[in-house]
Amino acid sequence: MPTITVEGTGAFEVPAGKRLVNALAHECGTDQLHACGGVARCTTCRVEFVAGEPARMTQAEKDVLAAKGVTTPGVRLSCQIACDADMTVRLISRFEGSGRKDCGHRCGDAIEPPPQWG
Amino acid sequence: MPHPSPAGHRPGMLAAGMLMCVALFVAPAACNAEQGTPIFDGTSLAGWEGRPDFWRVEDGAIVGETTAEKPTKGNTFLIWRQGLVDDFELTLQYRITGTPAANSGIQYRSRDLGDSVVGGYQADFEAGPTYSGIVYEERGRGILCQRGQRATIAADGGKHAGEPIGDTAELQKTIRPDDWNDYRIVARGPLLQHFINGRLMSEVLDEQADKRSLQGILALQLHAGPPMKVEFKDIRLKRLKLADGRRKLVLVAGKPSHGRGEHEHRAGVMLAEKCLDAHFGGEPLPRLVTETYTGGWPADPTAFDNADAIFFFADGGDGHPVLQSNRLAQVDALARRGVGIACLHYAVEVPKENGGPEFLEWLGGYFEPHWSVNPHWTLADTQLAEGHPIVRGVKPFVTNDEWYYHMRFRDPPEGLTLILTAVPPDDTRQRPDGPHSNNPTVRNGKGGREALAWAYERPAGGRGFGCTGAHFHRNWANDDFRTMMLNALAWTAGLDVPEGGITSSVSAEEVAANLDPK
Repeated sequence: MPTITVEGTGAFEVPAGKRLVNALAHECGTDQLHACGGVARCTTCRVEFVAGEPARMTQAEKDVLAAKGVTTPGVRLSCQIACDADMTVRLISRFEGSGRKDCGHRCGDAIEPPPQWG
Repeated sequence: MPHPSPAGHRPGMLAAGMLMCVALFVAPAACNAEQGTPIFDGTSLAGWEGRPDFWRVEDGAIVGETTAEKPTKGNTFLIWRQGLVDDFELTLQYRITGTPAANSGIQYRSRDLGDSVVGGYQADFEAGPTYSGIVYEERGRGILCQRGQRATIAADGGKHAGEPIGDTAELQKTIRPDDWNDYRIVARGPLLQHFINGRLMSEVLDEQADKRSLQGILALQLHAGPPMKVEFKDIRLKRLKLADGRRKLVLVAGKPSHGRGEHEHRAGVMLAEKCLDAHFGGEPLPRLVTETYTGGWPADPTAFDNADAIFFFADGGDGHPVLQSNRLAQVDALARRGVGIACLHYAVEVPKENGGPEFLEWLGGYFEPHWSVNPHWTLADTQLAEGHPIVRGVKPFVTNDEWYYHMRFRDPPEGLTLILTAVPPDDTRQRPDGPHSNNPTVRNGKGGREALAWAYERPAGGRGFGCTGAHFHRNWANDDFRTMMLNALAWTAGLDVPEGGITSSVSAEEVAANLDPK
């Protein structure tokens, strides 16, 4: 099982293959936003990688990052990433202070839309 | 510390232990003091609760299993339902099989989050090479300490590494894959230690007061992920006496009895516990730990093992919980060790021939049928034992209750202090004679002052307290009565009572909470 380390929060064991967005909510207990429900539309699930950034990226993530002008190196969509190795991330899009009513729609177990690796 | 061998029970040791018990007149439950008391019977999940589609018993072991057809969506847990744990040593054997992702663990001092989900400290283990032995906090702070490490978690949550234990890869080599291994957890106050096969794997000193846990449930984990199987056997719990001047009070609420609002054992005990926890919980390391068992004598075979005091609020007489089975000897052994004993209302009554002598030793006094009486009356000319810690913050009060009086006390009364006295109206001395109603001595005592609560310091150490009121649950709402009881419980546990007493405030809703369905 990979370890997901969240800066300032802790290090958590996560079932291999689990969506990072769900691991941040469940195992890590963070208030990571995921407004659109993890379907690569809104970018509120973005996190900043400190270590272990996956090399590959889904086409959906590539498209929405480009469309929304998210170009900061290391900033990725947690809904498009599976926990298949140890990773360290920094939370940059949290419920706290967001003014939203909740973290967002529930995210499914599998990466959506079905991933095409660009 | 002797440790159960992988072969399991040691019949020779057990037989020797039992012989010793007979010789010392100690109850069998105390025989396992050295190696812990089994909390899994080897044949059933009695005392444990979890999803039956994931947990079963097979070949003397608890088995948790997921398959390709039957995965678990999230981590699911088998919870030990017989008690909570505070300071303890837990030993068991485990075997985990499946892919390297197979992961399990032993939750302790944890919280029940409902739906077979648990959060809190976990003694981790897995089929893979990384996590076995670490201190993890499920649904909390995550990895608190890696294998081979010592960590102090400061009040602000900052982690500080201590002197390393060893190389994690070397420690992994001491763990047998696909085979039985011994796990031992030692938790003493803020210090947590995990051992596998006798080797210390990790150690945490948790000083983050707002996040750590000093008491909670035990549970076994079945992790989400690929198909896996985990087995546990020879699970033994040894409770450890609290250190650093901390004390433990075990509160026992008897079975439901009488009408609504009367003999509300559960509601009374839980209210007292809530007030005590509120008072002591604000301290950096609370000086008093409480644990409540409701519904009569605890099913937890270790319930009293590290108690400093026991509070019984239950029906008494022949049906007194301490008179059933071999319990009189069990509690007597505890009292001889200095464990305090407090009894409230009917729980101060036992038959003269069965329990009477012991109650004089434990409490210094008791309701003796044909000598003591049980009228209902309103306190008049209430007096409190000046200078005794139990009356700190208590003003003389007036309540209507079934205030039993004319207790049988030790004679001579060395060590005995009459805490609460009042003068019963003479009409309480005019009932016909009977085991509870009247007798010549009571009849001739018109106008006399009677003791209704008392404290006893045993010559060989240990404290006792008795109080005859609390037939009516509503009297717990009286601040002075409640403070007297809270002071008495803390005092019986060996604690000093603060100058102003253990004050508390309770709302009408809190007083009405936990009433038995009647």
